This record gives sequence, structure tokens and C-alpha cells, in this order.
Amino acid sequence: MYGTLIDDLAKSGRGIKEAGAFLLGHADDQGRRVASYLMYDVVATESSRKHAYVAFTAEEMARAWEHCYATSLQVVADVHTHPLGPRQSISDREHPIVSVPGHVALIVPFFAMRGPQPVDLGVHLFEGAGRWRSMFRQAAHDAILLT
Amino acid sequence: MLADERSIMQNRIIVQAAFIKDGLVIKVQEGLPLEELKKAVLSALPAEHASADLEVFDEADDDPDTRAFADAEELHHGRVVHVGRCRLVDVVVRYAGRTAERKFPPVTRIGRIKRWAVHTLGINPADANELVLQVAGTSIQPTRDQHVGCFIENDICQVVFDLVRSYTVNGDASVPSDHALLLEHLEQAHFVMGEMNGRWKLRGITWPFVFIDVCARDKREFTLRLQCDGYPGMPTGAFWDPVNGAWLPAHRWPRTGARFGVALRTDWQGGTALYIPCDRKSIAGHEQWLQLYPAWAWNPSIGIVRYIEIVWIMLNGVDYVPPTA
Repeated sequence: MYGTLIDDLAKSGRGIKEAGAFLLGHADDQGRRVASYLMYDVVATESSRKHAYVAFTAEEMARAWEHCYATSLQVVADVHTHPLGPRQSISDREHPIVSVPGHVALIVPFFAMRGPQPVDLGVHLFEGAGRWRSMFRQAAHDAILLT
Repeated sequence: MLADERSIMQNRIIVQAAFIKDGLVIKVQEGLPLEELKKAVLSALPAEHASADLEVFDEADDDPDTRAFADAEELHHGRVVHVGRCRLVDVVVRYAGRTAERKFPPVTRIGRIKRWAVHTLGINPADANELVLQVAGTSIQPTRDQHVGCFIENDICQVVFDLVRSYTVNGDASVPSDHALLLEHLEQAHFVMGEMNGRWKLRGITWPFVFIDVCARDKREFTLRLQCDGYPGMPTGAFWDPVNGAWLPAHRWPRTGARFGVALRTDWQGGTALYIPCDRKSIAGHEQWLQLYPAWAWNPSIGIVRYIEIVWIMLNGVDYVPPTA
């Protein structure tokens, strides 16, 4: 799924704009297992068309929650691309996609156009009360288990 | 007794219901017994909503188990009431695949329900300021003082809410406005239809340069490099060699016959700008073109498609001549 996801992110952004997806699955004490994903340009068609960055209206976000409800899957993480590096922007830090501690936000550099591996990603763990813990390089690689 | 003295002896009561979402203010005599007060409320309802099976619920008879989540409610008997048929409302709050569910009296305020949901879903209150409840399947975001009973439909005692952020932004939002507007135009139907029909294709953007492959009549592709800073102001550019990362040499340019005159002349600006009215470098000093060739004039609302379409027309006319090289 990882390769397909990266391909879809690259296709969605076409190397010129950011793209993203909700990563859906189940979470427990062992970790967060991703079973499928929902691309942002599918649920937020209008905002994706309008902006070069990731944006959602309340209605578009509710559409994603409806999908979760229908499929009995949780948003266990999210992923979006950046034009350059995998560090969080101010808006990334201020707008967690899911404001529950333990939520994970992945950032893929270079619009996902350069065949990124887990070691290239930013892994950002939401700790609550506006705090995040970020992992890069080897720590990012170790945090993502491809099965 | 004077009118002013009579009004002092009346209380204002706010009535909410599924059919009066914004609330109705009525005046009743001060000190009425509870049953009389309820009768007064029911008799004040609009005639089309009057019904014998409606009940009156007082906000002050709230659910004591959820008082910890009250949001500055200032509850007092005989001040705010709810009218409806459901004695309890099954409330479901959905959030990213998680749900919180509980029964509430219909007279419970939305503010209390949001605080309960935030707590139940494990969200830190400090992270919940921008989250709002939205009635599922609608864009209705109730205010914190509205009663949950206002949002039941067809007398089914259930309300489903989505907990959402009013507006979410992620990513690097520092894209300059000219770049952002160009991206918006590249997503619009004019440009996308050209791509779908094989007339042109976006090769890439290295701002402020946009690279577009335009398909000629003989299926050759010519890459345009357009400099778009200041967009939707006019761009400027010409044919580009993407392999060598340089302007396309003159002997590899396409040609046109008499119909398009010298639009594809290679000696203009050293082959870095097409000699057409919608090119920023070329229009300077040639303002008479706007009268002679209005269809080729730049139009900011059409944008980049105007430039590309003119090139496509030239490369697909009967007098198109491919390069010999």
C-alpha cells in the first residue's frame, strides 16, 4: 500500500502542489495499523482544486468522518506532501487533522516525486495541548513498519 | 394600574423547539405555578405547531450527570424551556472514526454536549477551541445556547453530529499569490479539457517558469517555457529544449505559413519570446496589435490557456511546417 499511496500523492499533486490523505485503520497499544486511505482530493474536491496547499472546509471534513463511520475505520494518521522538506509548517502544527493525543501526521518531501522511502519522511506525533514530537531519518524509518 | 406596572410583573421566557430553532420570546405573568406556566407556553406556540402531545421541558431540570460540562449556562426555572415530544434524545458525535454516544434531555444546550463529546473522545480542551458540532449531512453548526432537541427530525429522538474544525489548513501556505492563481487556472476546465483532448500537457513548474508540451498536427510535441511572475499579468516565453535545459535552437522551431505571418520568428528577442500579442515582451511597442488581433490579446480571466491555445492553433493549422531537424 505504501507504494500505491506515494504514487497517488505524486499524481494528485503533479509535482506542483501539495496533496494528502487520511490513513484509515485501527489503533491499539501496539501501534497504528493502516488498512486503507482516503485521498484529500476525493473528499475535499473543491478545496483541493482551489489551493496549492491542503485545506478543508467543515463540510469536507464531515464527508471524511461519514466515510469512516460507513467503513468502521478510524483516522489513525494523516499524510501530506511538501514542496521541500518534511518538517512541519506553522499551520501543520496548529491544525492537527485529528486532535487526539497519539495521532500521527506524516510529511512527504518534494511532492512525493522523488520515490521517498520512510527514512525520507517526517513523522510527527501529536501529544495534545498543541504539542508535537517529530522524528526524522532513522527515527522516522523505525517508526514506520511496512508489512 | 398603568401599563408600565403591568409589564414589570411579566416574565420573559425563551421557548425553543425543533420548529422554532432560533427561539421564541414570550411574556407570562410573574409567579405562575409550573403547570400554568407550561400551559401559557403551549398556548403561545404558532397555531400550525400546536398539538396535544407536546411537552414542555425546563432547562433547570437538566441532567445532573453532565453538569460538569455545562458551559456558563446560568440555569433558572421558568426562564428557558423546550417544547417537543422526545423526553430523551440519543446523541451521537462522530470524530475521525471515533464515536461518543449518550442520551440527553432535549433541553440540553449544544455547548454542554460539545464539552461532553470533547472529554469523551479524549481531546484536550485546549485543542478543542476551533472544533464545532455540525449536524451530520448538513452544514448546520448550532450555537452553544441552542437545545439539542431543536435538531431532531421527523420526531425520531436521535441527533447525529460531526465534530469538525471550522476550517483546516495544512502544508506550506506561503505560495505567492501569482503562483497560487496560476495553479488555480491549471485546474480549471479550459486547461484540463485541453489536456484530456491531447492538445497540451503540463510538464512541470519551477516557479516562475511553467513548462507545457503543446501537440502539433503531426503529433510532435513542442515544450513552451512561460515565465509567469506577476500572473495573471501577461507571461512571456518561447519554445524550450527540456533535454538540454535551454531555449530551443532556431533550426528546431516549427514554422507557419502566411496565415500567422511572423508569429514564430526566431530572430525576435533571441528566440526567448513568441511574437504574439499576449506575450509580455512582444506587446511592448506593438499596442496596435490589440486592434488588429483582438482574439489574440491577453485576457487575465482566461489566463494561460489564451497563450497556449494560440500556440496550439498555429501548430495545428494547414500551414504548419515541422522543423527539418
